[in-house]
Amino acid sequence: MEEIKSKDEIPTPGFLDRIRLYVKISEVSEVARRYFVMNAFDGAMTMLGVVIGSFSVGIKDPRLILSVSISASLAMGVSGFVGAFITERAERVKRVKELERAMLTNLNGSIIYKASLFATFLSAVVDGGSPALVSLVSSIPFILAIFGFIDMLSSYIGSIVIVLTILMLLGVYLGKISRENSLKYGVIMLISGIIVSLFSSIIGKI
Amino acid sequence: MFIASYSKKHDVRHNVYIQRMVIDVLKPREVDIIEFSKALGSVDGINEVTTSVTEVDVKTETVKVTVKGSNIDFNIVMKVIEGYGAVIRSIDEVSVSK
Repeated sequence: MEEIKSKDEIPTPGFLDRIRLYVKISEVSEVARRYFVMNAFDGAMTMLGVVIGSFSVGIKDPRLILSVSISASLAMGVSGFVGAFITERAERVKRVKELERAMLTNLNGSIIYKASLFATFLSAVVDGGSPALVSLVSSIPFILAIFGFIDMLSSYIGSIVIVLTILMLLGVYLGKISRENSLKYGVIMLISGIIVSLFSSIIGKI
Repeated sequence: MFIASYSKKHDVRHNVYIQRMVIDVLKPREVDIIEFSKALGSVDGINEVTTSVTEVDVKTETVKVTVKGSNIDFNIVMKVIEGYGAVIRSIDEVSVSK
């Protein structure tokens, strides 16, 4: 008989194939998509509130708004990451344990275990990353205002337009996923954005 | 001691190769049999893998895996199966030849 082959000779798929396999096994794409839209929506709404609130109380310093939006995005990012990591981990560990019970075996180190770790991490990154990214993108006009490329009013308008566009695009994306009318979803998101704008400006006026 | 050294030198089993095995495997449903069979098929010494589902449960599936090849290393087969979170329930058939 040949010498027992070393562990290296167990064929392992390449990095991308492994990721693809983890995504397939853990069915994380649906969860990640949901987290992405939900939290990007959160991020956009928060930014809309910050921008319109600042506008209605008449803040003229772009640095102020930028620092508020950066700290808000950081807070949303960290809270999203930690929250999703803990929640998703608990759910995934439960699933692996149930499977272990059904199979009367230990799944540590198996592809199921690795896929669940990967899913936990990916969900956390998406959950934390999407609101942070959205709020950073929508504060770009204020960065431009700091460097004097645009005036303050244009940066307000620019930021609001970016937020509303992101809301609309999120709606269109949802419409594409559900294979329903993309425009309908887009308009619903847009209307919710406009409602937030109205409320923020009324509160600012009080 | 004597038997051990004798059997090492004169063991005729050293050039007997496993060429076909039928294994009864319990695997998680998340792992689909295409990936599973491909992983087994990529092991050195295995030329052909046939997997058929014999029983479906809520979380698990029982599959009958038939592997054919010139020189099947059962340890590697076992490690690949376990790597996919599956367990070998029994070995139902083995063919060896010189």
